[in-house]
Amino acid sequence: MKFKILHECRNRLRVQAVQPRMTMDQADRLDSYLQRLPGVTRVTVHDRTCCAVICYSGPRADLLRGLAKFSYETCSAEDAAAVHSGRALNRAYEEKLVGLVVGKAARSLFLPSILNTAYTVVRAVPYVLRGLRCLLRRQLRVEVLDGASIGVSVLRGDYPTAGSVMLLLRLGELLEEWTHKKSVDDLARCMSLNIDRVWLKTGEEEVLVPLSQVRVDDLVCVRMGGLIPLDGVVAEGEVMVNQASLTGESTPVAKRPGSQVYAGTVVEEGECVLQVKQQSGSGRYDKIVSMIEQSEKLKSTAESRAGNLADKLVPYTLAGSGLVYLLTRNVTRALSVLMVDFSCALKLSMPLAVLSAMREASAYHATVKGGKLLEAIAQADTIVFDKTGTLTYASPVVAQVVPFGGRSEADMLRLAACLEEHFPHSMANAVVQAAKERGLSHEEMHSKVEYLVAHGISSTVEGEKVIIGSAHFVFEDEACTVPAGEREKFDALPGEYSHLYLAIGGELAAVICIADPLRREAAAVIRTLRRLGVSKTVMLTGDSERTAAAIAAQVGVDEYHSEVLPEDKAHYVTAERARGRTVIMIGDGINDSPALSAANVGIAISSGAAIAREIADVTISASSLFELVGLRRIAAGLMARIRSNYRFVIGFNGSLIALGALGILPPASSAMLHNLSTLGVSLRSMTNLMELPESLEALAQ
Amino acid sequence: MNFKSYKHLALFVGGTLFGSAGLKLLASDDAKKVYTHTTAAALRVKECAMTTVNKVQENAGDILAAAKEINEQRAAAKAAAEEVVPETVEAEAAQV
Repeated sequence: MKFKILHECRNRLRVQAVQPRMTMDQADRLDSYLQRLPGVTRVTVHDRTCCAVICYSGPRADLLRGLAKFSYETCSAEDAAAVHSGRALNRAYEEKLVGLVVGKAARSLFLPSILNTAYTVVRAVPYVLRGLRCLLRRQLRVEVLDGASIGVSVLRGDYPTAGSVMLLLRLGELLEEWTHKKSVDDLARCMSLNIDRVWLKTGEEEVLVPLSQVRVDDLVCVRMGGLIPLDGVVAEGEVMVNQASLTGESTPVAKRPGSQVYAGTVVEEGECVLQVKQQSGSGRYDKIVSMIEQSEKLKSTAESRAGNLADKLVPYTLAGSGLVYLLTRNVTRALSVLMVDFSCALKLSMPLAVLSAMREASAYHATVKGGKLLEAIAQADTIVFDKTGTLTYASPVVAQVVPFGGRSEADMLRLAACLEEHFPHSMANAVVQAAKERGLSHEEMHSKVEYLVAHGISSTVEGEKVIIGSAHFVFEDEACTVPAGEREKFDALPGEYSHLYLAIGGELAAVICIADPLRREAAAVIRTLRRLGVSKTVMLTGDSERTAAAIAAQVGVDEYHSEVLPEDKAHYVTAERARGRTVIMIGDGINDSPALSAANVGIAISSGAAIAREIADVTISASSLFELVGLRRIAAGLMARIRSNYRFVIGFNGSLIALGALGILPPASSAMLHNLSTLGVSLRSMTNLMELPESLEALAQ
Repeated sequence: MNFKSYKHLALFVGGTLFGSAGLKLLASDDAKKVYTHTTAAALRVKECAMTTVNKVQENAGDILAAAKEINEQRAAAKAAAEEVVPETVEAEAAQV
């Protein structure tokens, strides 16, 4: 595909596609293709001018080659992105914004003054009516002040002032509406369904197929911790389903054969086979949007407080205006005071600040589901980490398979893989991967598979009971024994690995040693977090004491607990909260979900279990733990910005009122200055809180 | 008769004409064609205006990026110059 370079700079390239016009769909495809090119940091595609602005960090030649290879047919945008990219929304609002400004300019330049005046009066009527209606309901709110200042200007014949006040008010409202819609849209897109393969039940077998191949009336198997992919009716089995992503309530609902289940909900307990009733879910997107709108998490407490303060200040402004009139008998001065109100500045800029912070967090690959959570992150003084998948990379590898009782390594690994492949746990993935690497194929030779959370898996193969899991599960719960004469082999097992025990028919058959490497940046992140004000860092893990102690020493947490069961994790978090601490919990697995909902802020790794993602308040992509540091700094920056907004609004507007009362500023100027400052504060609230760093590690400074 | 009543008569006749023939003309197919073309032209104007706005935005972005780069280069050159000075001072101190 041909491109022309329009402008070039170090690490920044602006190219124009050589085509007469570009549709929005094509722009989306180009955008997603460019973002996937290696070395590209930021891409903006403008469909109107067919231009793409690319910021990159790698070699220029590679980028140019990637551009040349692009073509619309071979590149297919992801389904969700293509259907709901924010491009149409942005386009509509850009047009409205430009229309507003250009319209005003055109009217004042070209329209005869009579028509201009008539237009102003006609547009002023709704504002005045709204203010009157508010008064009639005996409420003194911001609408009253707006209506008063506009109405008074019109009555005095000061049409330019009325016009400019209305323009600035409309600009502010448009900005807020746009930012709000954009935030909800982005959030809904992140929270949308993104699974691609499901277990299809054909006859007695289960086959892993891509989601697009599932038809109506097919049977799909969903196990504990899994996401229900499509709307349907339960055919077999009983499950407890968490419908938080749909209805907002977190108590699980029991579903029996015959009950309806919805796409996007998570199975908390049990497993079921469901009959698909609806093929693909775009209705789900709208459901998520309505749920986000109704959720109380979206608005932060600082925002609501600002809104309440704004309404409370209205009577004082009116009283102040009246007072100035009484003291000076000068209508002009009283009007100058009336034109200035703190209220609309507060009401406008706070939501913008919160929503912009949420948008900025997404640049760090974190999806924050509400403003309240950013506040909690800024105030947090305790962070609780899960070990596997959070402090360690979620890709453990099998280091060794030690067979017992004269069995072969290959058979044992094959058996383990066959059982483990059904479950979304990183240890399970390691076993399956190791079997794949050794070329061991495994047909489904087992019967029903049962998963006990944090303990292990049990099933029956060829008549014998096979279990695989932790030491506690295998030796204590199920009372399996080490085969005679192999005690020394058992004691000599290497200690630095995590162990997975496989037992057949009550006897230990093999031990799989799994190496779980710690993240490189884990220690540095914990140090930085401590410096940013988190006084207590804790690690909770279900692993054995030995491994936990080693990891804790390496990482440098203040406290750690090993062999923790899921309920205990939740109890620990609740106990900390009862002591008055604000707790952040980070985890990725099914066994973290109770703790995630118990914490003030639950953070889930987006590549972890579906139920953790759905329950958590924030999801991070965790390609590097420094994203946590980024989140914390954004949250702190947001709180600082809210405080500085308060100071600026009250200080500036207070001085405007003083100047107006003293007669130094005429009403037109005070109105203009007030509205411009409001717009200025709002625009500044929409800017980024931090400079985008070169790399995530730079956040440690 | 005086001119005032002529004026009223003229207004009355004009109104009737407008109400009957005039409205028909305004709603006719030819008139509709005119409206459609005018609206299409107005939409083209809007697209043109939005494209201009976009172009201005892009150029502003280019200028900003180039300006930042110039500043970075100057800062780097200054830092390099300052590094040379201490080195020469150290070299001289070593010689002495």
